[in-house]
Amino acid sequence: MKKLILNGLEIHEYRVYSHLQMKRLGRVNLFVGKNNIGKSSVLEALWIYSQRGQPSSLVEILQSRDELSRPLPFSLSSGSDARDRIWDVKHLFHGRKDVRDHLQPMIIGPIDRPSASLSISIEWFSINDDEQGDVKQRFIPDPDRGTDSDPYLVIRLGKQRRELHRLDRVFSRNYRPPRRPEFDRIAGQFIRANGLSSEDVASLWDSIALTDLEESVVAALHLIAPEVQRVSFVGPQGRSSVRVPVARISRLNEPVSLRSMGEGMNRILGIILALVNAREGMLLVDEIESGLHYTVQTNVWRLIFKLAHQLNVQVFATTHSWDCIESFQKAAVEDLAEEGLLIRLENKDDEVNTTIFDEKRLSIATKEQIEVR
Amino acid sequence: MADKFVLLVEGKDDEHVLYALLNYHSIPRICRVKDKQGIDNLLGTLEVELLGSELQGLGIIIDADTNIVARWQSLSRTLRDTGYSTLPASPDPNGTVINENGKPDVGVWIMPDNTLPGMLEHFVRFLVPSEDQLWYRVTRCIDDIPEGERLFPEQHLIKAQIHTWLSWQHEPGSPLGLAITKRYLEADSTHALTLIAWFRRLFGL
Repeated sequence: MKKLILNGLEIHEYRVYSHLQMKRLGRVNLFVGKNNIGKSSVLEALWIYSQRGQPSSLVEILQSRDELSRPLPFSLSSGSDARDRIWDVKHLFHGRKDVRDHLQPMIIGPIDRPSASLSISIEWFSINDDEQGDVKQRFIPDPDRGTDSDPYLVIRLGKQRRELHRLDRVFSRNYRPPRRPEFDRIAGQFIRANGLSSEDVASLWDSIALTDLEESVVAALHLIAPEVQRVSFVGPQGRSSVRVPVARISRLNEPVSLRSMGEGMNRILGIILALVNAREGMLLVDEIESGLHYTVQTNVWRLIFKLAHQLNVQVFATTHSWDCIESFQKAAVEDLAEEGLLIRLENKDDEVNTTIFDEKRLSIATKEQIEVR
Repeated sequence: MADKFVLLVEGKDDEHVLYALLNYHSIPRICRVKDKQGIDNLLGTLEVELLGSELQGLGIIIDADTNIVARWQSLSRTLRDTGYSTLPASPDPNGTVINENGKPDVGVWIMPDNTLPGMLEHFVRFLVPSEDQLWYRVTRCIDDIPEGERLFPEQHLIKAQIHTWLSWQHEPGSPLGLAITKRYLEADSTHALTLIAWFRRLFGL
């Protein structure tokens, strides 16, 4: 068994979690728990971790939850109205407290390994002007927030590595600063509950087209439609500005739009494309069962286990569905190479606890019809 | 499928006897009864049963068999392993109930009466009416079977007695639960009342 990126996970001060700990993680991890318990937040935290706090990934998360009070500006403007949007960053921090007060940093990483943990905080700095002309600016911490200091997004990886991003820049469109090389990003793909956009799917396809991985994608589509022979992307056509997936079907002369073959086809295509693009990294899938008929779910999980093993991908997914858990359990127990864990999040005394079901516990739970959700 | 209250039993007969007693006393069957088909599977799956997501109370009805101390110890060990820390050294004669903060309540009833060795049929024996005339004949009749012709193992003598007794009632051959419903067996005998009281205490009824 190859090494996992995370053997355990600890989250501090992210959204609903003042502190969340998972003592164990497997190759393929399925999160369950009631609505609002914060399953998606765990995926977000993992995403932030893999992206090493990439400022645009934080803003995207806020956007995906409609937590930006105003649209992002194209350029930096100094009006106070424009500046106010930077305080929306508070939604990411536990308790949504005003970040102008001294906030606890958000920390995401393996358990008891501060050197590998990512920490994000908002801190005030002023820039030392004495050294004008010098390429290197000096940032002077200003915890009292004097008039000449600005709020910065401070990203730390372990104790040594630090990056500063002025908060108003973070909240402007197209802010893609060069990252310090020591902030080595972990490869990753994140499929949110509403799925991938057509553009995302097309670009994931482009990065594997004409490689062996293409065959894995076709094999995945076979789970629903054995008649699919090949897949390609065409367009843009007509009013649509994006390329769309089409399939060559046995007995038909013309390619058929994949979307016309049902929602399940698109869902599988998205999941498997993301998986094969997450090589040596992490795949995150929110509400993985959506669009997938229960009869195909076991085979989808089997393929996920197989590919996760082959490509050394650690998979994290969420579900509400009992069918999905049952099919996950089946595939996990069958797959001898890698461990699948079901992780339940639940409220206990105002804290979120985790209960971990390994494959042995899972097969008992399924056989004895014990509710694990 | 989210069960708040669950009762684990070793076999179908336990379930039928309990249901008949609950019915007689008009107590709602608020728990899901799970037939674990034997003590080994019951103990082997107990840890995961206690992890059920909505679980508030879990009852366990098992047979003492020949050694009640050993049975209690193996059950206590399993419960301790899942985090229960306030287990009594020996079972409560009225049926054990364990309430611990943040965990499902756990109740244990060891057939026949949390004290004696034995099984469900020994408990049922306590429900045979005191004025009954047949029991004496049943025991004598079975005792009279010569050694070589008694096919059942010695530890199942009580089963042979109970089922012989049942086959001599108005409608011969009623199963245990039905024998309570038909009032051949007494649902208000002391032992039945103690079991019912344990059930109510455990599930807050």
